[in-house]
This record gives sequence, structure tokens and C-alpha cells, in this order.
Amino acid sequence: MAAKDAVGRYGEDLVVRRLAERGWVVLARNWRCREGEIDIVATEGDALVVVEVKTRRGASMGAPQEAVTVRKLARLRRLAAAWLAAQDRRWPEVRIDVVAVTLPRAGAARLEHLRAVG
Amino acid sequence: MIGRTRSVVLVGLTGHLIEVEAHLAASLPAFTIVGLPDTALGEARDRVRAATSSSGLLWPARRVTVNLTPASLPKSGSVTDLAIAVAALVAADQIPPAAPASAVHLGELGLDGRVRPVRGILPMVAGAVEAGLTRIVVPVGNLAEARLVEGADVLGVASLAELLAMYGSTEAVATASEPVLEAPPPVSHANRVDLSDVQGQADARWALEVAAAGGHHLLMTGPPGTGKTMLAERLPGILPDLPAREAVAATSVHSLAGTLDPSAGLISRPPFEAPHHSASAAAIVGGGARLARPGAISRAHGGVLFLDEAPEFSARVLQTLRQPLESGEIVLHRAHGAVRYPARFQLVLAANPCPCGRFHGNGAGCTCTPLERRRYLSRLSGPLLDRVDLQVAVLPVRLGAAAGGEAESSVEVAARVAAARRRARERLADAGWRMNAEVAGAWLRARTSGPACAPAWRALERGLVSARGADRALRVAWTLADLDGDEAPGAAHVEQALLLRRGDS
Repeated sequence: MAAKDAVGRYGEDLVVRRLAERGWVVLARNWRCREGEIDIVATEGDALVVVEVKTRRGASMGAPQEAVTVRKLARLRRLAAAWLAAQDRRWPEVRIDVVAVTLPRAGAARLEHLRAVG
Repeated sequence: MIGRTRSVVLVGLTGHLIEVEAHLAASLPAFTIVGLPDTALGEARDRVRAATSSSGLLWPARRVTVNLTPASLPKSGSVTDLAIAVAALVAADQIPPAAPASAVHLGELGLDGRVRPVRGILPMVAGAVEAGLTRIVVPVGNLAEARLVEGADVLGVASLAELLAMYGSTEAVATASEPVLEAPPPVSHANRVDLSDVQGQADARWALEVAAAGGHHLLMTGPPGTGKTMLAERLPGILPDLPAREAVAATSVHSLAGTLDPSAGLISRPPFEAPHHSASAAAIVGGGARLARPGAISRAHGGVLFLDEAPEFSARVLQTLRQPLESGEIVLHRAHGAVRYPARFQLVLAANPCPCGRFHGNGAGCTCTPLERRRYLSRLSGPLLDRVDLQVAVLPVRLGAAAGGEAESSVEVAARVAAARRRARERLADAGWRMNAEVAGAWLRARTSGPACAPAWRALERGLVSARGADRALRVAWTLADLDGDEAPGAAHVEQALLLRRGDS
């Protein structure tokens, strides 16, 4: 496994733990289809949330959330629709969140949760 | 988080105060500007972002929305760059909000974080002061010009980092240190000429003096090389200084046109504009896409517009002069709105008598046919010549006349002109006119005594002048009386005035 994949995996684990602490229910992780992969699918109360996790070490390449481009956002939307189509349940609210994880060289990881980005 | 500050946008010569608000939202990083920006202003996003990181600060990784209010006012150009950067950095908590909120920020940002000078600073600063905001931050290259506005507390900054440090940022570091200054435009040739340079030409010099004293428009016809251009260039030198309001308007126009030398202060001497006869209508009256920029007639505001070889100008261009000659301003309409520029100028036309230019005296040496000759001057349309009170012939100087004595200097003539103008101003103040050239025909006929009018009516009866021509003779006669120091014109003045209009029929 490449180092960057390990970093991504570590970031996702952090986020899942943080979401669970806040009472979110994680329904799926790393769900794949032909379009690509969803990092986390979870529910917050009535809302179904598709979560994209972006993890970076340090800030030299800019903030992690800058890597989520308009194209990626459009793909996330298609993925969310594909996931919903595969389910029997329906949710009154569906949204896409991005969680930016910055891993400094020393000290605790910094999480920034961006709600309803698209 | 919201950051606020102020800036100014120009519509024509009027500076409108706008509020610049920046909002930061926890969302994917984006930067949008709303509130009717044009392309140059939309590009502010890239300039502001680059200038901020060049100043040693991090651009917020947030959704940044900048709103320029009132949203209905179309905004253009790069002058709001500085205000956008300051508002965004206030919103990002990089600088405290209090000081920027009450200040006006004007200036374009370079990618290296330096603040670059912009055109039109004078009317923008004046607009801000008029709206009650006096703390104004301007590019250091525009500082001299901004200081011309009374009551403005102006601060010149060389870079964004310098401004942010002043607002209390400890992280801001300027990467480029050399401030951007604007090169002053070349000194106009018209400021260095004197009437004593003109040899002979007593009649034409007299006509020039009368034109200056009454504000009359002037047409000079004569063969090439007789000094028509020399004479016209010396008209501003014998005109009085511009009154304060006109000086501010003239300076504002030149600031916007990029032809202002701010180190010389407000433009107090009448400007001189001499567009070439190949000029387009847009170059003369002002033009450009979106909101139009001022043209030659507005740059000549308060001064002299000289059209050399006037019949060579395209008919369309000459026609466009009629509205400003009438109203003293020009309104230019574009899809994005109308702008109004001042354009109160004294028109001086010069023309050769015929296409080859040698038709004078007995006409020997002229190779033009009579038809060509007639067609040539008829290119100056009736409606335009109707507004030209003085029409004189400038003939070749004879050897003896050129050698004779020292010619009068501009200063001596200007003193007589100033005295005549003062007399006219006092007489016309109640009616709201400033010079004889503006006076209506009815006023002239009512105030001029019967015997004095007699020569004009006689000329009218004999078909030598039209009714309008007779009015114009009376108008010039009042100026002649002013120059002579008389209360009102007599028959001799009117006769002289008729002679000064010999081009008329």
C-alpha cells in the first residue's frame, strides 16, 4: 500500500470515529461502483450524508478542501444518486459534506467539517 | 464572518461611494464577486489572491463571497482591488475590522502585492469626500493628485503589506519594495508659446483678442503658412484663468483620460486640444465600449478646441460638435448606461480657402476650379457655422509688415481681455450668462440702441447678412464695446463687427 493511501485511510478512520462520537450512524464505507468510490455514507438524524474525506500532511500543497474541484463534486453527486438507487429506504434530506483532515508533523490532527457543499 | 470597507466607482465624472462586503463560509474554497462587476473587476479575484499570498498572508480556504453594493450600479475597472482584499482579510480575521470599515480604499493590486496607480483618482476622491467619508487610502503613485481635493485625509500606500501592517497585521511582509509611480505626461507645447512670436497679421490678432474677450467661436481662412495654427495655439495664453468649478471639472476629465500632470496641481489654465482631421467621431466626443471615456471636446473643457484643416474633417465628426456647442456638455449613451462629460470649449476652426490653398488676392496660382472652391468651404455646414461668431481671412504677410516693430505679448493682450470679460460678467450676471457669446438674440436686440443697430439692419435689408447674422454682429459689437470700455456699443462697433464676419452671407 502506497504511503498516500495509508494517509487517506488513516484520515477516514479519524473521521468515522469523530462522526460516531457525534451520534452519526455510518451506513457504508468505501462503497464502490462503476463511477468510483464513496468514502463514507452516514446519517445525521433524518439526513443522509455522503462524506468525502480529504487528508493532507502539512499545508505545503494548500488546504485539503482545495482538492475538491467542481468536477469531483459533480462525480460525488452522481455517486450519491447511484448509492441511493441501490437502497430500498428513502431519506427526506440528502447532502454532501467534505471533511478536510490536516495531519501536522507533530501534534493532533485537525479536522474541518464543511457541510452541504453541493 | 463579514468584513466591510468602502470604495468608489466612477460613472462619467461622478464618483459613487460603494460598500464592499466580504463573507466567509465554511464550504469548499471559492471566490466569487457579485454586484454587477465587469471583466476587469472579475479578474480582481486572481489579482487579490496573488497579492495576498505575495504579502505573506494565507488566502482563506473558505467560500469567499464579495458583494459590491449598491448592486444596481455597474462597476468596472481595477480600482476596487484594494478594498476587496481588505474586506476579505477583515472577514478572515487577519486584521481588526474597525479602521477599515470607516475608510475608503482605492487602488489596483499587482500580483506582487504592490498597489498600482489608477486613472480618475481626483473625481473618485472628490466623490468620497462629497459622500462624507474623508479617510481615503490611495496608491502612492496617485498621492499628489488625490491631495488636490480639499477636505480629504489621504494616505498613500505602496503595497498591500504596508497597509495591512498599518491596520495591525504582524505577518504581512512586502516582497517587492520599489513603489509603482506614474510617469508624468509630456508638458503641452501650448503653454510655452507667446503672441509676440506672431509677426504682422494685425487683423487676425485683433480677431483673436475679440474671440477671447467675448468667448466667441472663430473661423480663420487663409492660405497655408500664414500663421493660422500659430494664432490658434496662442489663444489659451490670452484667456483668463479657469474659475474654480471649471478647474476641478477640467482636472477630473484629464485625470480620467490619463493626460493629467498631478505635480502641476489643478488645471487652472485653459487647455488646448488640436485633434487631427483624420480623427473619428468617438475620438472627438468620447467613446469606448461599455461606459465611454472622454474625448477631445471634453479634454478641451474650459479651453480651446482647434480644428485645423476643418473642411477635411468628416461631416459626421463635425455634426457631433453641435450638441456640445449648444449645451456645454456631452451625453454618451452605451448599452451599459449613459455618461455625461463636461464639454464647454471655445471652437477655433482653420481652413484653406480652397483645396490647393492658394486662392487669395486675385487668385493667381490657384489650380482649383470654381466648383471645387465652392464645394470646399461648404463642407463646413450651416448649423456649425451658425455658431461661429467671428470669421476672418488670414492673408500672407508682406515683407514690410513682418519686419515692423515688436509685436505685443500675450500678457498685454490678456490684460485687456480680462478687463472686457469682467465688464461683460457684471452686466450679464443677472441673466445668468458669463460671456457675450452666450447671450440670446432677443436680449441683444432689446438692449442695443436704435442708432447703433442701424448698420446691422441696413446690411440685412440689402441682403448682405441673414437675420441670424445680424444678431451675431450685435453680439460681437457688445464685445468690441467691452474692449473699448464703453457702456454699450455704438454704430461704429456694429460696423466693425460686420467686418469681422465677412465670411457670412
